[in-house]
Amino acid sequence: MKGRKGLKGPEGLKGLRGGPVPVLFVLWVLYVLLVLSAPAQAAPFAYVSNERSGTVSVIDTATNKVVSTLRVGSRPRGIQVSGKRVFVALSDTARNSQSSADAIVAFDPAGRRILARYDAGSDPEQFAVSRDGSTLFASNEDAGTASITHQGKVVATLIVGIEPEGVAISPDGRWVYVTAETSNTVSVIDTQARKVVASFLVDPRPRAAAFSPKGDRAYVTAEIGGTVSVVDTATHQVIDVIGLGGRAKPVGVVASPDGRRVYVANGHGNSVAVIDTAKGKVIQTIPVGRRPWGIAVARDGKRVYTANGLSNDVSVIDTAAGRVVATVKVGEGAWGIALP
Amino acid sequence: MASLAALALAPEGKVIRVGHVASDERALRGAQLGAEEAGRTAGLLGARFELVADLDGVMAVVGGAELESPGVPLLVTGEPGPPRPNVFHVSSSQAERRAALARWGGEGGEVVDWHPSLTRFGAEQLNSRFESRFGAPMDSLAWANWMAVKIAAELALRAMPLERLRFDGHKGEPLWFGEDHCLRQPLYVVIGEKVVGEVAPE
Repeated sequence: MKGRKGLKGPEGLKGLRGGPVPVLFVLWVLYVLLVLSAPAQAAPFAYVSNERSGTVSVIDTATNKVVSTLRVGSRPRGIQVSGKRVFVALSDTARNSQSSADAIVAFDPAGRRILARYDAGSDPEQFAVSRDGSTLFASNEDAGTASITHQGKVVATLIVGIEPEGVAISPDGRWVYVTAETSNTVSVIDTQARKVVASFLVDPRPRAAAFSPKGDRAYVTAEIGGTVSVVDTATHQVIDVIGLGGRAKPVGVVASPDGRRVYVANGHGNSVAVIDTAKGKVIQTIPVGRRPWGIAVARDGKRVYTANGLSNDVSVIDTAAGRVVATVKVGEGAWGIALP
Repeated sequence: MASLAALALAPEGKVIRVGHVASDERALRGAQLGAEEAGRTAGLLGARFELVADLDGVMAVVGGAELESPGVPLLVTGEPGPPRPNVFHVSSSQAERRAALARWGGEGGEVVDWHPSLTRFGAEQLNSRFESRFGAPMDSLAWANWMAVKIAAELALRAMPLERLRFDGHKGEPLWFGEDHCLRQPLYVVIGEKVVGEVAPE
């Protein structure tokens, strides 16, 4: 049947008044139905390394439920998400030795299977991943070194302080900071030169470092000092030291996506300290599970998560409300936590 | 207290010489490990650390209370002696250990500054480094010498008022010198070979 442009077929579509229905209108209706029926964008997973059980727990952050548990190997600790892979550091249980158990493994985001295994030197504890995912920078706890693994091979082993642990990479990928618990130092690795180019002292027993989103500042926790050192990353010098007070034993640290807040996991203090970066002081202390070490913030800044190693759970903090809104049971010895 | 602050100086290009008089093999080993680790730290900061037996030209001395160290601080390991202005005690005294045992209040036991079975706050790693290095467990005297060398190095490397200085001895709490020049530190109650309690400093 001819007439105005419309769908034609054996019977064709007819409008209410019996005329043909315009193609564009039909397509528009179909489009609206498609959009309305499409599932909401899935909330990301949170990944928790469980040191004593040798597993990683995968948490759906929309429901705060564990959706899978992957056995990864011995003593999983540092954990990072990079692109479509999740990386976790594994170490053997023997002291002062390197074995085949020492590695960084990559697994799929759903937590179903291990995809690759990388040499990262002896006893890798914490690590950072370059922006393109090709290079790993790992602290080697017992050896007092930091290893650089590029495309699967160790390409540099650098001398840092005694008992290195925390590793953080600047947002532009230029610098890696490595803390050393016994030396009380932070060593600065130039990622292009693959060398340590500076080191500086911080307060006793530095455990972790985190860069601000702009990269102009870094924050270093001192577990025995009970402080966070604020570092000017242009000069690699400490410009402020923030006391956390009370029973704080700070370990993990992370900056909010807008840079206005720094969240500190207080370890045996069983709390999270909230630092206002403009004021340079703690504005709130939030009770969480027992011995929070790992800490991560959601990309929208609305949630902070802590891995609690003695209560074997994850505390979910609503950052606007300033309190824990959910607790998720995970494996034994929850150590690190990472989100995309 | 001011004499300890005199050790503080900017690290770059500096040579930090600390004298050590060992009372026995355990003390020597503790100091040696401390010196190796202090050397690593100093090297990262552009300085050099030396542990020497000759006390001439040193910035501090580590050893027993009977030593004389004119003009430089003496960090005493082993039983403390009478108070002197430039003398600082790293090991606990018998009186302190008796008082700690009384505060603990349990039956039996002895109080020590360190035990090779300690694990928390990096103690396991320190014990492991010592045992790997020397093939023997780290006891209180070895720990005190390791700690004293570390204190001397830290003071030389940091340009800070002494009142703000706190030290990490892998005991889970910051250590510092009180007005009496004695190191404030947690002590441990041991029965047999087992640590059964920890006593906080007064």
